[in-house]
Amino acid sequence: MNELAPIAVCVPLVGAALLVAIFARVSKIAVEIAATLTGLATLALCCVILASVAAHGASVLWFGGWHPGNTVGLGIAFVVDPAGAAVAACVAFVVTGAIVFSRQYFDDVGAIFYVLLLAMLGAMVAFAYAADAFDLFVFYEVFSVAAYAISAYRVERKSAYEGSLQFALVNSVAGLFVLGGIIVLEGSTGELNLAAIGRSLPAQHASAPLVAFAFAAIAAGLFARGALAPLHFWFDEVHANAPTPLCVVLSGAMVPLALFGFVRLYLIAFSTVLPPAAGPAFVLCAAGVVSAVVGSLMCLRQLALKRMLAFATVAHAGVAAISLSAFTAPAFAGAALYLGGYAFAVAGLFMAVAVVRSVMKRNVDLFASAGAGRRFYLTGTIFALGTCEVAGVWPSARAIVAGGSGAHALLVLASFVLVAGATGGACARAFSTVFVLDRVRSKRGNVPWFMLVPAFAFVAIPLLAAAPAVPAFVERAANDLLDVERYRAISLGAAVVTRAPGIAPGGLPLAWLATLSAAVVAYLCIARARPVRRFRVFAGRNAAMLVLARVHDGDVGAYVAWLVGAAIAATASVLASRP
Amino acid sequence: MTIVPYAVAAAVFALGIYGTIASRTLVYQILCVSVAQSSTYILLLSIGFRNGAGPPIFLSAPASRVLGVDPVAQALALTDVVVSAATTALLLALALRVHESGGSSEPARQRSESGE
Repeated sequence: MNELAPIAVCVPLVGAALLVAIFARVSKIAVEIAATLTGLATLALCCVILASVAAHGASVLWFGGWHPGNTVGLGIAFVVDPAGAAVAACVAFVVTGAIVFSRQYFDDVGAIFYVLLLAMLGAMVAFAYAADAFDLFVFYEVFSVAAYAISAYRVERKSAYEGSLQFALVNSVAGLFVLGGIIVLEGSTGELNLAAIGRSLPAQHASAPLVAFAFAAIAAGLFARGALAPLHFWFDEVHANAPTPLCVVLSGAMVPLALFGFVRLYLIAFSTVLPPAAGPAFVLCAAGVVSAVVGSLMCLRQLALKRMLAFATVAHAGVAAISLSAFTAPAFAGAALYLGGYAFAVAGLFMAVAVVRSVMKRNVDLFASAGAGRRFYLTGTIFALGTCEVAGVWPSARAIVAGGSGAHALLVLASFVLVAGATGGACARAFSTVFVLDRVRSKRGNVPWFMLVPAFAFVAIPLLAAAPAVPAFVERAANDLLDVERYRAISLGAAVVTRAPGIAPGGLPLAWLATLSAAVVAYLCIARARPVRRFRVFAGRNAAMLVLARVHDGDVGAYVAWLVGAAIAATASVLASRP
Repeated sequence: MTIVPYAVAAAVFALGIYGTIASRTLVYQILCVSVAQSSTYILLLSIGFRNGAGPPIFLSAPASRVLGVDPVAQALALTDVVVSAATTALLLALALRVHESGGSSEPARQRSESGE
């Protein structure tokens, strides 16, 4: 079935190209149907590939039969393993949902918008399957360039153009870091295939600083896309200004994809010469802790709902990164369920906010829209279901504390309680303000079904993790993801040695602490303060919050400087902790 | 392999990044990103270079007799140029929009509090 993988990449890309060719000659409805069908076809292909991989295991495809054999490796390959196939299917689901949603989000969505979304979809699916370092970079740039273009689509404010320019500038520099790291890898090994790099890197003892630099540069570039602090500054700005479908794709697909890309690249290419204990685990964990704290504090501070959700994504990516830094299968499975569940839930939350905004014809923030959604019963239900996931009520979120042991498990639990409390509390506060209060007159428009159906599907998906088959599959995929030798063997066509499976995660009652903390924050925000002034607790004049706010001041130069500083710090910490 | 190409690439990269951080005009800032990007071309071409080798065009089958520079690195440099051109074009288009909508071509130094 591995022949299907390139087709799943080609379908959206060819569909996008055909759409450009025909959209001037056909009616709007035909364009909408064609785009939706292309998205659905990609989703179906990704699901078939996922089912096939789940049944028969991972497989490799060398394009044009250019298998490396005993000669120099010139060919490029896709390796479809359970983790990559699952990530691709989730990404396809999110982007297809965004395509359906766009139809009623814009007054008149142009064909170009669908073209950009489909190009992004193709590149993201390819990124999940790619087994070649340069391919990874190219697909990463393709989906980024499409995202830059979407972020400025049909926005007529100067601040919106500035937001997307910031997004594009910071991320272009981040892309340079990834490219620089990959070139250094190629220079020291002569290989571009990830598995081949991983095989020949240990022989290059002399180039230890170069390997450390390559790791740090790639980590900095992917962390910037993964919204990990301190490289997340562009993230809320673009969410506040960009069209909602892009927010859905960025928070719901790009952040998990970037973290997956980092884990895959690190494990296959670097882990033999740089084991997790020699720096990488520390770098990932440190970025995670900073993200969890900064994201939580900034989330509570926001009045604008889209900014608030953007910071919730930063905080959740941080918790997932802390869990991933254990580099054990149960921790990976927990992080995957947690971040996957959150990604779908936040996509639904963004859509719910957009439904209220489109019917009210005004921006939704806590001041302006108290009670705006009071009569939106379905939208309110969607928002409440999404909030449950963010606040750690559903089993998919609580899976994060199941894996790991000792100090690491305590750190994961503490950050989970902090993040669920702050972001879940903020979402509950937003729910009570927008959907319960009685201030602004709520009006009823036509029910926008094309917006509500994908939103409902997104907030319902995390509930699937309650079925035992899902955690079992994720556990197996995490086990395969960590089995570096197996991936290299499949990739290069050697004999595969099957490793014993890891330990299945068991639920911990302590995880309910997170929900409790969310309830406490929500209670403090809602019941103990007057309705509109309640946010001021966190916008207050205390020194820490002011410093935090000043760091997020919107200076692109400073953001690029943070990126350079983070890459240098990561190089230094890897070099310092080498034995 | 000597260290000179690496040093040149690092210097060009550092210059470009410094310019990106310090520029006071959007167009300069974007050009500085391009300068930083061009350091990767130097890096790519230098890792594919072999002393005394000709262009990688082989007319007869046993290519091992003829010494050529690494064609893969050159192909990658070409891909890199395309990616960079796409990004620069998009950045310049956005800068133009910022200029048209507000008359300013300075990088944003203030956080906008607007948005949704």
